[in-house]
Amino acid sequence: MMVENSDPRAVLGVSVTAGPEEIRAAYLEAVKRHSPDRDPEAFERIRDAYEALRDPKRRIQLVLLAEDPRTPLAEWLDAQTKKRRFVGPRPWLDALRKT
Amino acid sequence: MSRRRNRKKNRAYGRTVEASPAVRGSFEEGAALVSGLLEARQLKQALEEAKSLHRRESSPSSESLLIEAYLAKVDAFSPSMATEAAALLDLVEGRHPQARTRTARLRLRLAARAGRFEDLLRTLADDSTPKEVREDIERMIREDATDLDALAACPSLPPEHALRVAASEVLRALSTVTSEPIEDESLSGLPLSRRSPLAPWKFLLRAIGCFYREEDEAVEELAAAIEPGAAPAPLGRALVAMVKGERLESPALRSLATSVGGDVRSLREALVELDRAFERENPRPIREATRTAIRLCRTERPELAESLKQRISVKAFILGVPAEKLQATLGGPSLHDARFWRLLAHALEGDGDAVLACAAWEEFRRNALEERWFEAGGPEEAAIYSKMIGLMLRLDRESRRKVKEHFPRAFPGFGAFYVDQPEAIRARAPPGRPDAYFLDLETLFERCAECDPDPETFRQWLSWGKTEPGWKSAERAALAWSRARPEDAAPLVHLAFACEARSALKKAISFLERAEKLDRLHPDVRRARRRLLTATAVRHFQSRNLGLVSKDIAEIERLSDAEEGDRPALTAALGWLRGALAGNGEERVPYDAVTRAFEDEMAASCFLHGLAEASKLGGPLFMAPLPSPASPAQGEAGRLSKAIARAAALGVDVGLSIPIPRGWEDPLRRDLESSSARLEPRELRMLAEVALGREENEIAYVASGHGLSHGEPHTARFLLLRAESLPPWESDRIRDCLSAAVELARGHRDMELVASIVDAGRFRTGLRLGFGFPSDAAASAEKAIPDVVKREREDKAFPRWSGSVPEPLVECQCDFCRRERRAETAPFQRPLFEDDEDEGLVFDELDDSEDEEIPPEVLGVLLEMEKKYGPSVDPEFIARKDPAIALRLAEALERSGFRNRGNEPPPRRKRRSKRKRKGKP
Repeated sequence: MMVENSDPRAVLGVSVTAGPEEIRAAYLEAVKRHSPDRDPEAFERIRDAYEALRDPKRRIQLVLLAEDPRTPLAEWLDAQTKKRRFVGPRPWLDALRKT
Repeated sequence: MSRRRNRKKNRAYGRTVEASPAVRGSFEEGAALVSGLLEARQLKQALEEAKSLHRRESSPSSESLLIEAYLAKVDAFSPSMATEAAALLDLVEGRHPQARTRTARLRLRLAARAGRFEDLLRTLADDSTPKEVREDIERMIREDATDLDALAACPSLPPEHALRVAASEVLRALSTVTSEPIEDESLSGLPLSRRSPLAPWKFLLRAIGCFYREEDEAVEELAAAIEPGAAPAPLGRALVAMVKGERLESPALRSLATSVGGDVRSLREALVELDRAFERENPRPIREATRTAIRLCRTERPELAESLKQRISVKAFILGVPAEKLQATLGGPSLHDARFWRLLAHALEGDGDAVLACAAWEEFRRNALEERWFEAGGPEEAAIYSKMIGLMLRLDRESRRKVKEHFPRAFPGFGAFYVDQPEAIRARAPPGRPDAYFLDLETLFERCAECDPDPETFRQWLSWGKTEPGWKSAERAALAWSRARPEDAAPLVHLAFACEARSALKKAISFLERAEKLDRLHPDVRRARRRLLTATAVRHFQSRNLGLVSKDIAEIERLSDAEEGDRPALTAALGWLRGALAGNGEERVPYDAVTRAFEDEMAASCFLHGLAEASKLGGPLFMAPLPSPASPAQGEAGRLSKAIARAAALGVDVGLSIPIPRGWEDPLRRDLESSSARLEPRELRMLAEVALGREENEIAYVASGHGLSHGEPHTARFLLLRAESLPPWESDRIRDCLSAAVELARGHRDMELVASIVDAGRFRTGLRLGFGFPSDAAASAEKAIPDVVKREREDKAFPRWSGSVPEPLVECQCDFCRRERRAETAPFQRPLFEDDEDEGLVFDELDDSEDEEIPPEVLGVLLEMEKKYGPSVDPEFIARKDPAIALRLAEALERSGFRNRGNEPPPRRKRRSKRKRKGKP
């Protein structure tokens, strides 16, 4: 299951300057990872995000409205996609050895 | 650990263990207690109880129990405490030699946990090792082998041994799965059978893969498949805790969760505290909470640290927290890039500071272009201008004027925000004073339309232009639209209407012809053609050119929609009037034809009155044959009202002002009072508007009251009409009606109605809408609106002056009256449109006339107009608002030898100058 995020850019993992081609590539990549069979909810979110970013008008609105500074900081943190970092095997094995 | 804490812990495990019953009870009881404590993993207490029991009993059974407690205690030592574990085992072996067999196995397990597999695997490499021993060794590896590097490199086994190969493969797979996203299928080739001591690792590897693919449900399923006692099981539990956002007990696992980004609980708690500090608006707690939050963010989500700094900076800026002190806690200023400016602009918008928000959006635009978020001159830039337009439209016209005057002088710009920034951002600092172009709505519309010539932009521009005084703003919008999108008929239709309203019929027709080439069937194009033909016919009536009137009638009849609705009545009425004027019996259109077209004698009569008046044929000669209303017959209540409304509606359709015929006022009022339920909102609105045109405020009052009974969505419109119908001394009611109306109209997003209400407010009461409503400061506008509507709906009686003070002493709030009594200008009030140089004032031409004296007849009408509407008012407004007085002025001008302009508003300065330049009189 993907982490909930209302910002389509974050759902597809593209930067604010991403053009149509980059957005499409990110969409295809995301669909590959979250196919409709395996994870229909995530697929739906990805498709909605792509639809939002594909429409130039909506994309522009997202540039303007993507971030609301009035959101409480804790909620803002929750809304950020938990980017799970690839740290290599060492921290995993070290944690296991120290447990 | 104290007994009290032990009791607490025991309760947590759902068990109740009495303190030291081993000392008091039988051996069996003591043994059961120790076993229970071991099972509950209360190892220290178990050991103490076992020692006590053994001291008392000193039997082989008690010794065995004590050894078991010792071994459990040693077994629980972490791998990092291998030395302590070995020392304790030595101690146990020394005191209890018979424990050697059991301690030897534990020593092997401890060695395996510490990554020393030599002794353990040497036995495994020996082919003669019994099966049971082999299985025990494999079990130990399954449960204790956490150091796969050591296992893969263990010299006790040959390199090709299956266990070493498997360990190498697991290590390789772990390296891959924790370094890049991989598919589950790529793990299927691992050489691990179900019976392999490393089989649980396969589940762990797949769970980690799912964790990085954010397939959290699969993570839980795979983690559950790892045997609880298996070596990698703690990592499985950690994965589940991370996806569920649960707290991990082990510091090592917490550290892992932080480094892979799964655990942000500490940061979240710090941000909750910071949010609370912002709510309290106390700078000191804000700074303290900021320091903690930034520190944790740098550890737990370093990629979010800059973004968090920007958010904190913006929130603090809005609250007015001193920047220098905050920067110290932030560890330096936040980055003032495009993202920061966007945040600041949003925050200023939320704070209600529309103008400063525009300035921040401008900074965002410049920075975003520098950072190449989008290309210059494209739809993105247009969207920013559109945003600024929305913000500036939040201000009313008067506020915009004041802001335009004062803001550029008072606002120093955002230059200070670029100090202490990296060189790349510092270079973006605007040179000199800021460009406050955004204060001018027309400039914003121009820029927006230039970047994105979208019809919606032009439509909004034109819509705004129509609400501005005079016609030039709207005309500029329409011309720009037509230039940018020559294929659109809408601007040409507007230009045709606007020229027609100024009686510039030739120009209007040229625009209309262009519009017809684009879209002949467009309803607005057809309507414009109909109105223009009617206006031409009226003009020909005025010049008594009946031949051309016949042509006009023929053209109107040829229109494709000439037979729709009441429109046949127009041609019939034009024909009747032409016949009446010509006096030619054969060509005369019978009066019955008009009646038949309307199917109503009163409607026909009312329309003919209006047509004759517009054509300056309203004398008794032509009016004499027309019927007048009688008292309504039984069951006919509402007939007269409906008739007048129909005639007026046809007038609006064809561009004619149809007033209430003289002498019909009383019958209409009586009819209206007795027919509330029979009239539609559109009929009531029409009646109220024509009544106001004749200054028959009582009729408009009754009509608006009936209109309010129809509820939404008509309430705003009828509140405006009610306000306009009220006498001037009812200033509180007028203010309440207008304030409620403007709130409702805004809610319906009917900006044209909003503009009308705002104009009416300034005109009637000097009221700046949005202030002082409701009268009771504690009540909200939302709550006050229903009260106002209810009061106006229920108050049926037109207000009469009943005070002891003579009526004239009630102070009128219009410009003229205030100036007359030398009163201070009402708050927010100013002479209407004083700054509009291009706008022709009603009196311009006469004021500037050096060679012409104002005839007394004209002067009388002018003074009346000035008294009613103030000294400087748009002629279009007068023509629309009070056609009767505009007509009287035109007639007076004509009689006094001024150029005949019919219904045309008095001339404008510019046009007159042009004629003078051309040498025309």
